[in-house]
Amino acid sequence: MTFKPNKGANFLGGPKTEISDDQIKHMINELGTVINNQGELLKKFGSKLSEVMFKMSKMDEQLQMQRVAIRIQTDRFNVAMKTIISLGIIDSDIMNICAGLTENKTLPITSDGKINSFVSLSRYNTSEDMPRPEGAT
Amino acid sequence: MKLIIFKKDIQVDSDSAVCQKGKPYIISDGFLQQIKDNFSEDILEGIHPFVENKDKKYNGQDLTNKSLVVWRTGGMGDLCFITPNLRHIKETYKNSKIYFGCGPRFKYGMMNHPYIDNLITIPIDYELIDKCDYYLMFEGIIENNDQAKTMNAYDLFQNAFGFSGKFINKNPCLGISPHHEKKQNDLLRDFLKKSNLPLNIPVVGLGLKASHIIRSIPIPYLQKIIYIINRLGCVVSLIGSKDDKDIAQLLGSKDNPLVFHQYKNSEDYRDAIAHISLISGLIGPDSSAVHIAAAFDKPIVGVYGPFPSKLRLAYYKNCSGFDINIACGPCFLHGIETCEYSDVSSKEPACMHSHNPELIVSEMINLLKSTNIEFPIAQPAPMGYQPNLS
Repeated sequence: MTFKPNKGANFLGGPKTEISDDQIKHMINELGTVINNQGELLKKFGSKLSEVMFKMSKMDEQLQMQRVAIRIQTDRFNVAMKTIISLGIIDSDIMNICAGLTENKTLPITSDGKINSFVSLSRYNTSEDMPRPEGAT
Repeated sequence: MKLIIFKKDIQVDSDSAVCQKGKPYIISDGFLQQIKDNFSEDILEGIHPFVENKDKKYNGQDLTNKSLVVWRTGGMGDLCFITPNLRHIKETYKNSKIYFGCGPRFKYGMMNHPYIDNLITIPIDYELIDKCDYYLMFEGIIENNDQAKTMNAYDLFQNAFGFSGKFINKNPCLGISPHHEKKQNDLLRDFLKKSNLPLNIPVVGLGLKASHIIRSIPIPYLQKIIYIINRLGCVVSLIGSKDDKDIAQLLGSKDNPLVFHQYKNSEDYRDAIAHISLISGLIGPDSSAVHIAAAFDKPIVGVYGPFPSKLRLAYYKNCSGFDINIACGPCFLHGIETCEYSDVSSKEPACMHSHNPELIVSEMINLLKSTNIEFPIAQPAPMGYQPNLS
């Protein structure tokens, strides 16, 4: 997965470039603790992302980055957050969100894109002596 | 809820009755918006708030020799949630009369209902409120109700009827059209004969989708479920409507002799109900198919994600629900909302991608065995799609 800024646009005022998977992984590694604790953040502030994106769209010189971030967001919200934060596009809203990252919650989607969850089985009005499938809690 | 008056006679849907100009009709805000979108506000002479009549609003009163008009704008599943209360009324109050209103598409599902005297479609003729002794509607009972996050849907509707605390058989109740039963029976028999399969082979229904992708089983998981069931020597029936053709095509089971394409022969809900009454069991997401199967006490495995299965399935006999424990859930997203963790291309949410097809089928087999259904000797899956089950 590679995100390519539109042709001709500057990337954070620098040379024309693109964000590769490796770069995203690097950003994720650098963010470490913040990333590992943003489960609760996402639950609380997930709906705010569009607001944040809107504010960012007002930043002319970072417009291209915003576009890239939106493309990432459509893939995986948490990756978008990591990318936004790691690239230094942090406005006061995001700073506040980061400050709230204290609870150690599990991310629904891990940094490598896998889903962090487990399956549980409930039986209704059914004989309890039935064998339970291996793997269901 | 609004009271509307049309400027001219109009049929708001090809499956609904004609609304007469100048007469007041009751309509939900959502359905009113659909009318505005599909036609124009110009067809409306007036839109007024619907003022509740406390004396006529039903809340568990004695209905002996009385009439009740009850309606719901929601889908077939929602209508199923209402049905235990209709049975209770008819079994408890002699000479009670029930007028039942629903969306035009869903009237077919309620056409042969044993406890409905008059079936009507929304918008509801306001004169009916005057004509009947009582009325009952359920606006926002699930959509805008925090109680719906902890209380089973059947309890919500029972309470709305004013029957809280009463012992009511909560299994849903639906009627079968004899014509559609024969049609579906013939179609299934023809399929089995053509595929050289025994007529008593277990047929497991598979709900193709929920009303929204946020509650639907992702395609690769449907494929795996089909594959595993076929490996066990059972037939899979793909259940849905003709609109689900695109999903069925993605499954790649067009030429699979162990897959019956029920959705192709489903003109309306009468076909779905008749077919589901004939199959051995059903696997499905939170959709009408699951609730229809419950009406016929079929073994059911519900596959849930955004909210816990107990909120819908808790009263069903011989039924199991798979839920997903995930940090972002339960989110209770139900309709048009987008999951923050959805897949970029399919929009399927992360939770529904967490299910395990092997466990789902294993549980269905457990349920079927508990009903003494005999299984054929496992046979190789048909040629074609073979998913990686690792």
